[in-house]
Amino acid sequence: MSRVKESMTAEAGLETESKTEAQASVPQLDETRLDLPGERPPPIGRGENALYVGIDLGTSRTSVSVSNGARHTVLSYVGVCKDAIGHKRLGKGVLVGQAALDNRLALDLVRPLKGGVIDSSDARCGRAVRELLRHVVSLCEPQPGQPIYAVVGAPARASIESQKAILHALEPLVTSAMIVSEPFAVAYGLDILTEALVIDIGAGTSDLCRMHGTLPDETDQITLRTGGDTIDERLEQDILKRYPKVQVTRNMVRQIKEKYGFVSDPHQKCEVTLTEMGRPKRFDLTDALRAACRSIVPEIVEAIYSLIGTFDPEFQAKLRNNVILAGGGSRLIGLPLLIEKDLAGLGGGNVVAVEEPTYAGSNGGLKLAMEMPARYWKALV
Amino acid sequence: MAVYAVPLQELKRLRHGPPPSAGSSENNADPSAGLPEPATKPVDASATQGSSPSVRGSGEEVAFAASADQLMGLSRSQLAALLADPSESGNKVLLAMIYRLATIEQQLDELGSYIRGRSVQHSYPTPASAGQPVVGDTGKAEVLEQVFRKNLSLRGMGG
Repeated sequence: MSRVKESMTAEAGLETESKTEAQASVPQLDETRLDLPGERPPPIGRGENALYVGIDLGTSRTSVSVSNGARHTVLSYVGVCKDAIGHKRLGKGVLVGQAALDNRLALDLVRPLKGGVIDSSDARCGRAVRELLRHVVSLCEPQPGQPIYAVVGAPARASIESQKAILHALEPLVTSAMIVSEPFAVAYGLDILTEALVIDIGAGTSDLCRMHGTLPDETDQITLRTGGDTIDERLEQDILKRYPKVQVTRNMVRQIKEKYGFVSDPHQKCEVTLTEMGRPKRFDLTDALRAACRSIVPEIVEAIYSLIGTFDPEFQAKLRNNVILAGGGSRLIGLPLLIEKDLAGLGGGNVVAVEEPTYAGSNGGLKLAMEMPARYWKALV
Repeated sequence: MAVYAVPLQELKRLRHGPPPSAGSSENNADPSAGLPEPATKPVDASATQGSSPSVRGSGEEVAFAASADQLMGLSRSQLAALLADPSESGNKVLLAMIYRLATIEQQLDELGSYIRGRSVQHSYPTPASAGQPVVGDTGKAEVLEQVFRKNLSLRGMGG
């Protein structure tokens, strides 16, 4: 990757700029405090000793599956201590994941990924995503000197610059890395490479990808800027519209959605306790939650129509009968049935959700990493 | 080119067969009887003498490494006439025919091995199960190569 390093730095430009500005605005970042050794693992080459890693770098959560059997998921938050008091209390300058969220009052909290890629509008994000990845790689428990090969899932239509920025962030942490589209990683992990439509509904984006036995190209994929974050935003607005005095944060809204989210006819009420000027009160959010969750469906269905409608007509029936939902959004209760109903205009379809939405992408990345021939890995080192 | 070593005396015995019994009609029969007669030029019995067959003495091992392509242009009756010739040229024709057959057999063996090898190397997709098509190893290898090439391209390293 040494050859790549110069070209990526020159071509991407993103990381270079982010680093310069980040150094000024985030002086607390200290790489030596983290668990991993500062040096990059040596390019020994593929062998039994190598560690293979699949990473689903998500806007809301980042999941990792490792060839040694470990797998973890962390919230994609990075927090930097605002001052020396926080640093002394927390014992370190940078916190990642749930720890960052829990201590956010003492931290400058950054959510470095926007729409599944590094948020280039915030100068701190380039450095923060590196801290996030450093934390994730440390969770993989690599042995000292052990080569690490990683496959990272990115949004289906992520720009070349975004993909380079992710590779650049990974460069000091692993021996070599590859980028694939997230729905493709899901499909590969499930061994579904022909006549299937994979929909990965994440927080920042919803990625659709039709599989037909080869690597999908741009015409096979659609990335929608709607996902879990869209639901959170609409739900928060709706709650505040219905109950103007209620005290609620975006994080509380996300937790409500993850606990009760549904798109089907309600079988039970969604009643939660919130506060008004500090006074706890029960609120019925059933209708607001259902409306917010259903709000992302029309756009997804429209994209499904587009991908099926432009597919080889002899295989369209197979495609619409093999629609697979993945990502956190696939956990919305009743979503497969609702999409199936909306596919009636195409002659019906069969929609199923993967069993493990949290790890479907990272498992696919791990499988790709392990099955990738050694000569390919060596060529990228 | 393969070399076939054949005892000359054995070839003579094969060509002339066992001593004919008296009154046997089979041994007196024309070897070309009943065969169609192609329109070809009359061939001299010494037609093969200038070709590559080499004979090293009577009763010795005969090394025969010839292409024998000339025989392919002869009619059956012409071959029969050559074989009936008791001179040394008849032996050479017989040797050339044996060589030709052996060469064809070897080529068939090689062809068979090639065909068998091809059938082993080719991997058919695994049959679909439970509505989830599974791509065989061959298809997966192509996909992996495509992923690799795309990442090469992403790094500006060609592909």
